[in-house]
Amino acid sequence: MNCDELRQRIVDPGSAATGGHAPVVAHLQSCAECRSLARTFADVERLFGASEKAVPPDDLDERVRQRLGRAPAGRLGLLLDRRFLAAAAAGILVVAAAYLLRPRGTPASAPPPPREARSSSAPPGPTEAPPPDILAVRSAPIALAGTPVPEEEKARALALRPREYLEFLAALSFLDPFFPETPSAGAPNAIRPPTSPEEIAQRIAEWEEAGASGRERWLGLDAAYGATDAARRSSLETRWNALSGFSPDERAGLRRLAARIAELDEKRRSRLVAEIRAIANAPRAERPWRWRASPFARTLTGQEVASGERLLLFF
Amino acid sequence: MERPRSSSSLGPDTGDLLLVAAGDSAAVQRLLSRWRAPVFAVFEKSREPGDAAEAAAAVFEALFRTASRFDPATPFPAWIWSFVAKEVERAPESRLPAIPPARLIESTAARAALVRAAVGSLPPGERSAFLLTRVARLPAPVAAAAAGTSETELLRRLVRAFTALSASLAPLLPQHESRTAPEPGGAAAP
Repeated sequence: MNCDELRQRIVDPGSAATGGHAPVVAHLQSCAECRSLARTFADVERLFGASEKAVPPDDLDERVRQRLGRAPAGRLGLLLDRRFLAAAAAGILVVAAAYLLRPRGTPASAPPPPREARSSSAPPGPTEAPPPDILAVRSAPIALAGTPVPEEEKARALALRPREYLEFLAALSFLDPFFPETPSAGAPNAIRPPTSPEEIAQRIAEWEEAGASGRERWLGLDAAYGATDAARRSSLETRWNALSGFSPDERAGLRRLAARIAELDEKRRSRLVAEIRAIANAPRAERPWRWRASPFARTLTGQEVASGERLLLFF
Repeated sequence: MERPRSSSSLGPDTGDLLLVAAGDSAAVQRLLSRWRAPVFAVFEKSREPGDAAEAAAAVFEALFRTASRFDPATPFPAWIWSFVAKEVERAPESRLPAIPPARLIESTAARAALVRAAVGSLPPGERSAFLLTRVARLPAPVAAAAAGTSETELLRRLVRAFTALSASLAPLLPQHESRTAPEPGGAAAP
């Protein structure tokens, strides 16, 4: 062992566990310079080892939120930006106030004429308001001014599995014990490709709204899912179909419930899985109280408990 | 590291980062609560607390913004520490302050300032190697992966970092009879 090798050996944080110290000792016995250096390095090491544990400032989380709040239009930024939430709340209040204070006898909103009728009729008069920039198909906004999606890209978007499903897969996996171990047979249909004009419009709107990185992730998730073995895919699809009757709030509750399970360490999670499976296999009438009385459920919010209970009673 | 077979075998951090990508703000909070202290500690050893908090916040910002690109097969620690390494290396080398020896003896703050300045004065690669292994306490292979280098190069950087720190922190180290003056590597003792 030469001097360079020895020095690399003594700075290696794992060297103590490596074994084979004989050459190190032999070199230190014969090289005064390395001996001195090793002692100095150990002093430096001790200086850092002895220092007090750093405590992050109280406002660290707030700093992170502020940074994320600067997102141009990111979902994450909006989720965390209190100013956005405040503005959204104010907007809702303004709309509600406008509705409540509208003149009597005037309908809140007259149904618009069919699009075909509008386009075929005379051009709008000078008093007619311009069309809104954003329309919505269900809840997905469609920017009218945007560049139309090329046909090839449309076909690609329509061939994908639903984004909501792919994004829910991690949660679905953590909810494993709530579902029967042998899923009931049945033709999965909730992830079939969109067929009706409304479904197609919805999918294209989602594709546009996803942005470049979102589309990339969507494609990646879809490809990864496609590579999963068929039995697992079938099981997940059956579960997703079961959730099709769940409201968005209930699904949000399930997502949170999955997150609570995800944060457990392996040992606690294994124990919980066994407990939940036992509850799921109990007679139907017993499941709600057994679930609510379980130590894990007692740590959950009402929404998380209710979502878990709904799932336990579903099968 | 073994590739997880399914999402159900993911660790809590990996699971939470996937949930962050899906828009779950509670997962953001959980990751912050688990990682804020270790990440902050790394920066606090080379910067003033205010700057260290900003650097830690920048790491979490990058972590959450790129959540959609996270591959669950990547070990989460390697992923988050790579952001830390980048942020550590982004800072330019600082200059060592000239602190009178008497001040170092009487003031804890002065000693802390010298330690920060000494680490901050290391070249970026050596700084990240030192902080990842000595403050974050990562094993050499994990630190090397986070710093985007080989294990051998990481060890070389560590030797240079220790050598430079031995010189710049000499006023704080016990005096041995036969201390060999290490090559300062550009850093001058105050």
